[in-house]
Amino acid sequence: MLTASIRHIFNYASFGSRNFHLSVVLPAEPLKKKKRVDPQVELERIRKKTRRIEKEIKRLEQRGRYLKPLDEIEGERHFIKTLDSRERKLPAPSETEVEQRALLMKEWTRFKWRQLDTECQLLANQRRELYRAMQHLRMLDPSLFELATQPDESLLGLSLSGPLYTLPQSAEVFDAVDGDYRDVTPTYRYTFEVDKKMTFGKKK
Amino acid sequence: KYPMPSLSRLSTTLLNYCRFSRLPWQPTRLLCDQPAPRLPRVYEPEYLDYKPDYPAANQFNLSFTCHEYPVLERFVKYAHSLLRNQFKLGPDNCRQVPYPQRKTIVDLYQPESTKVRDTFQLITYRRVLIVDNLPAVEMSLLINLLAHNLPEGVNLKIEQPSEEDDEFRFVPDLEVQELKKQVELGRSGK
Repeated sequence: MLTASIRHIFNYASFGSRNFHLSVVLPAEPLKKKKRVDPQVELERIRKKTRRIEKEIKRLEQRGRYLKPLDEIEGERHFIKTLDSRERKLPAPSETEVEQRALLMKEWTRFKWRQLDTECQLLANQRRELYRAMQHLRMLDPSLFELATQPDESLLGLSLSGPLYTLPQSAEVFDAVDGDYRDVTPTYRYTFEVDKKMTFGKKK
Repeated sequence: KYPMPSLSRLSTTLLNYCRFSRLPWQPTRLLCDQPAPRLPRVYEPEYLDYKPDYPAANQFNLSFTCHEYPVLERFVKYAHSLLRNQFKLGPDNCRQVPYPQRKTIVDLYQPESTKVRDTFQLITYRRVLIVDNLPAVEMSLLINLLAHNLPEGVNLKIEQPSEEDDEFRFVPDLEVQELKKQVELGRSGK
């Protein structure tokens, strides 16, 4: 529309056509007047928005966190689906077999109970001696007793591992292979959308 | 596990065994070290009963990891019962917390090249016992016992509980994280 009006001027103006020519700059829109933003108002706006976002955060946190599923307890889908094909149908055991199993179970129970009892006795003895020693120490030197009762920080960060089934093998027997480890632990990331009202957009 | 036989058969078998066995019967001993009960002492000073304070160690984690779950499950059950029954820690003071498994894929290379010859998956299972209010002097007893009884493949680590560690158990709340970022943006200055 603007160009039309300029053409109109061009066609019907009293001055010559050579003095008036169209260029790219002419039909451009004039620059908008910069709005004066009151800093107080702007601050108040930001504060309100952050308060709204914090309220939303509180609401989301109240609904609780989801725990990651444990495969070892819930079971792996593949195995549950193929359970029928892998189940063995054995004949019922004979009476003698049943009796033998019951007697074996009793012997095992007795063995385990004795093992536990021995361990408990040893532990009780150790504890008794420990407290007796502490009492003697208290009588000898109360300050040392105070030190001895404090928690031992060197025990934190301790790393222990169980015994190994085989002895370490020599280099001739054991071939140390080169390889690589890749961590493929599932990270539970999902797509989500945040309301635009809850975001501070980029500066123009 | 052996399947349990029918009740009547089992009961008669066992009853016969119990009646006619020659094993010596031993009364159940007290497994804990308790003193004999005393009569109430009215005319004795109270300070005789005062016992010194044995301060409790700070809350710590016993973290058990293993590549085989049945072994780990059984051992953690043993450790848990040890803490409850022998060290007299109630359910509030001794809790078991399961952690999700960590999976690692191991690639084995051909000699003197990076061509993969074998691939397998290693799963690390983890269980944690959170111990609270254990007298500090008894901590060495506990750790000695556990260290001696550790089965093959099980690793024990004693550590302080931390939130980043605990965060691994939960599905990350991505919306809350994003909103918190927006709050930081707003606060830092637009």
